[in-house]
Amino acid sequence: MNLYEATHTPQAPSLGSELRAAGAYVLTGSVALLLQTTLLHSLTGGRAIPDLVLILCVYLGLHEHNVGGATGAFLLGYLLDSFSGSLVGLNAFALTTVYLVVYLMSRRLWMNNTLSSIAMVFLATLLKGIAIVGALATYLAIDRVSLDAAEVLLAEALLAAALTPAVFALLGRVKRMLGVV
Amino acid sequence: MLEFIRRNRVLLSSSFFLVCSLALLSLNARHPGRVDPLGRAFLEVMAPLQAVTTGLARRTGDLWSGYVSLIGVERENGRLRGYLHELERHATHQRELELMNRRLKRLLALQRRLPTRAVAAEVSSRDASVWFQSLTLDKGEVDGLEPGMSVLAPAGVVGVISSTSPHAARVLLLTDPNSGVDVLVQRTRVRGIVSGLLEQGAVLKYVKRAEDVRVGDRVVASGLDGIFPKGITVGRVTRVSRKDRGLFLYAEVAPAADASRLEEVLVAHASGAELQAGGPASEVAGPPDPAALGILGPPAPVAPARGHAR
Repeated sequence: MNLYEATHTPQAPSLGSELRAAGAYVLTGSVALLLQTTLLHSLTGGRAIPDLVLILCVYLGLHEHNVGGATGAFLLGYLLDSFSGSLVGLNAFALTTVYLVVYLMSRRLWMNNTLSSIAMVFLATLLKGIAIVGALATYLAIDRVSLDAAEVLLAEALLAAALTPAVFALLGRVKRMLGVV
Repeated sequence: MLEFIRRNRVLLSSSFFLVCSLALLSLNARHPGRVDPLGRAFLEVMAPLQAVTTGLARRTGDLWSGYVSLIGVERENGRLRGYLHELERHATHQRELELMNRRLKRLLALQRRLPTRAVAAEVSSRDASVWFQSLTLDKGEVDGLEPGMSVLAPAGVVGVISSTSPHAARVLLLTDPNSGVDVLVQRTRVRGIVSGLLEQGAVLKYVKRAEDVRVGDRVVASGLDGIFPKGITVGRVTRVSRKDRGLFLYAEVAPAADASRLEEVLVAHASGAELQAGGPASEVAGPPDPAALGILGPPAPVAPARGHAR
């Protein structure tokens, strides 16, 4: 038994608790997508938008170490794909990758503090960008990324990192409201 | 086997979803159309919410921009109000200067016509009581002012200097009960004394009942008192009363110079010889023309000298 297994004693959650947790994520995911496609767009002028869905995905990677977490990450990515003009599966792939990497890191590093969460979201944004560029390079034969894209990615990472404490606090509150332990 | 799956469920499920994602990507990259099995449902559910949120965001944005514009308008309004006040102040100042210029021009015209030397002075205060009529001037002994000197305005006689200090002088007005000016009724050359009343105005004293004095007659200084230059307007007769008894008639005189509105006056040096000589002042006072003293417009042409004996 390694350190992670020793400290994360698996407790079988009840079905009701799982459903409430799923409801909390569906609710926050929908609100995040809604804000990301409407209000944040008009506030930032569409140049760099903080990726709230990605923050949610990182939260899943840090706190939901189960099949539901992976499913949630995939569905969040798929949801993004449905509301973006990109290839369907691109964001699903990127967010699933992010979830997996965050999950793996959280198994080896202690990440239950605000600072590490912020750092993780910042890195996750960059990772998502890399994953998208990699997938595009593979499927659409894009071989070059402009410097502007890198600047936008950096701005998005900073914005997402700045919003992380608020989004995490909101998620915690929603889960408590719904009675999720 | 089950234990392996349970232990690695996250890795396995993530890998499964990664494969699903790549499969979706491959499908969409190859197909000309969009392969999106759940997208329609997501779109259907989210579109109304997006529309509402966008509407709210737009209204909030409009409200915000309206508010910001309002702040700008308020600032501009404040700035323009300040500018307007400044202009009004400037216009008032200009108007005051213009009026003072006119008054001083009239005073200057009068000064040129006086047979004696005259000093211009400003009224600095008025009498503290209602029973007596006096003014204080801003010039005094240092400027050559002495008790007994006549005080004149373009419209006519104002009063006489009653007391002085080095830098101020008190003027006893024509309308004060203690004052007295030797006058002539201009039309008939009837002589009398104009003195103030306790009430407002002045009265013509010591004129015989039989003399020809009518309402509207102009009363001018005779120059015989050695104080006021001959011919300077004193006022107009406003009421004449001949009682059954007594030697004299009763005639009220409205002073030509309204002391309550005076701001600048001329103080003339008394000189009996000059006052009696019938200089330019008496020439001006000859015809009953208000413009003759330079009260209105440019100075009137000098009229030929006229006799003033009764």
